[in-house]
Amino acid sequence: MVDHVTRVTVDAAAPRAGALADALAARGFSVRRERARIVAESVTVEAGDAKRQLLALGFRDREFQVFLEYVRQWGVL
Amino acid sequence: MPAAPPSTLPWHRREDTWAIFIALGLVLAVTSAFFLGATRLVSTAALSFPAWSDAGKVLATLQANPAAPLVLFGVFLALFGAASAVIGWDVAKYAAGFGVLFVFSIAVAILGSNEVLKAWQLEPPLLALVVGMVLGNAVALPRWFQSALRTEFYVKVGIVLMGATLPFTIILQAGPLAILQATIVAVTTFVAIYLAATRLFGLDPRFGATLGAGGSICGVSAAIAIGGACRAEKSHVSVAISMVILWAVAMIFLLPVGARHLGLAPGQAGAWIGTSEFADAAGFAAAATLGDERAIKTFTLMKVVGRDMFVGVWALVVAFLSVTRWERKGAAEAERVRPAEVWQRFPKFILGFLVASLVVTVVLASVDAKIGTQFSKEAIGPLKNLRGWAFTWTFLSIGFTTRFRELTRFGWRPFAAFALGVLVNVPLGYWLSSSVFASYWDAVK
Repeated sequence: MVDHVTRVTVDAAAPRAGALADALAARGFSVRRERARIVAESVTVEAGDAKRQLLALGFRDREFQVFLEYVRQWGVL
Repeated sequence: MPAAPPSTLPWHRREDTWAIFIALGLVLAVTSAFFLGATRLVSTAALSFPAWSDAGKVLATLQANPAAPLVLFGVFLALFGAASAVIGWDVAKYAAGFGVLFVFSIAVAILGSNEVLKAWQLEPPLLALVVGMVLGNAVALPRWFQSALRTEFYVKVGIVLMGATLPFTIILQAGPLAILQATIVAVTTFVAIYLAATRLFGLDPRFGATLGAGGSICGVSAAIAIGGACRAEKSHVSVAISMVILWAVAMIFLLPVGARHLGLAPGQAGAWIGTSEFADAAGFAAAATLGDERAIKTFTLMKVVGRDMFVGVWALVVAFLSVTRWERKGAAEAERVRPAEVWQRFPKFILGFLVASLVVTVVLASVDAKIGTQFSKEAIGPLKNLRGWAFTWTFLSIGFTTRFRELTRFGWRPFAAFALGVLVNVPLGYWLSSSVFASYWDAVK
C-alpha cells in the first residue's frame, strides 16, 4: 500500500562522516554530498534496519539522522 | 515502479503544488471574469443539474446550455493534462481515463439529482461511491482508466476550492474552537488506541502509534506521516491504512444516517463528521450527503483546520518519543530530531485552502454590499459547482479504487485496538458537537 524512502543525513564536518557514507553506500544507499551534509537515500532499506546496522557497526545515535517518508501507492484513499 | 515520495521531487512536480495551482487559478479566473463582465463564460463551465422528477427538466437544462458539459470537460482536461505532463503521469492514458470518469460523473450528477433517489438518500456523493464500489469490485478495470483515479489529487483540488467558499473570518472565528475540539478528540482517541494496542494486545509501540494516528489525527495521511516519523515498519503502516479505509468507508454511510436519525442540526452534524471521520475524502462524501452547505463548512473547519494542520506537530512529538522512550535512551544520547519535521510532514495543499479563502474574503471586503451579493451569486456560486465536480471525481475514485479483498489482510489485534478507538472517537465527537460546543457550530452560516 505504501512505498518509502529512507534518508540518512550526516554532518559533512563530523569526524566519521566519510566512514558513515561508505557504510551506507555498502548497504545500497545512493550517497550524495550537499553543502554541509552528506545525504544517503534508499527505497529498499527500511529505516529501522538502517539504524540497527549503523549502531551495530559502532556508530552512535548522534552522528546521523534518519528520516523516513512513506507515500501512498496508486489507489490508496 | 514505486511511487516517488514528495520530498524527492522538485516542487513543480508535486501533486500538492498542482492542486493549489489549478484551484487558485480557477478562483482567480472566475474572480477576474466577474470584474470583467464575463460571468456568462464562467456559468457555461460551472454546470449543475436541478432536482428533477421529470426527465424533461434535465433535458431543458442541457438545451439551455448545450456546450456546458464539453466546456467543463475541456477546462479540467486541459488543467489536469498539464499537471499530468509535468508530474510525470502518462498524459494519453490519463486523458482517456478522465474522459470515462467524466462521463460517469455526469451520469451520477443527473441520477443523484432525481427526487426519488434523493428521497432514498442516494444523492451524488453516495451514488458515486456505490457505483464505483460495485464496478471496481466486480469488474477488472483497464489500466488506462485506473490512471485517472487520483482520489488524493481531486480531493486536494476540491479542498482548495472549498477555501474560496469559506470566508476567512469564519476560519478565524471558529478555527480556535475547531482546534480545541479536534485536540480533545484526537488526543483521547490516540491514547486509547495506543494503550489498547501496546498494553492490551502487546503490539509494538511504533505500530500502536501508527494505528493511533490513523484513527485520531487525519486518517491515511496521518498513518503515513506518523509511521514515517517513528520509523514504523512498512507492513504496520499498510495495516493501519487498511483499518482507516475500512472504517472510513463504513462511516461515510453510518455518520450521515446517525446525524439524521439523531436530528442533528447541519452545523453540528458537519462538526461531528469532521471530528469522527477518518479521511478527508470520505468525510467530504459523508458531509455532502447531508445536502446542506453549513454541514460542509463545519466539517471543513473541523477536519482541515482542526485536524489536518497539526499532523506535523504530532510527527515531531512521536519522532522524539521514538528515539528516546521507545529506544530507551536519554535525550542527550538519542538521535537528534529536527524541528523541520513539522514543515516536512505538513500537508502543503492547506496553504492553498487558506489563500483561496483569504482572496475571496478580501474581494468581498473591498466591494459594496450590492456588488458583494452579486459576487457571491455569480462567482462563488459557480466555484461551488466546480468544487462539486472535483468532489464527484473524488467519490467515484474512492469507489473504483476500494478493493475490499485487499483490505482484509490484518490480524485481529490491530483491528480490535482500532475498533476500541472508534468506540471512543464517535460518541465523544457526537457529544462535543451536539452538546458542549453546539451553539458555536449552529452559528456557522
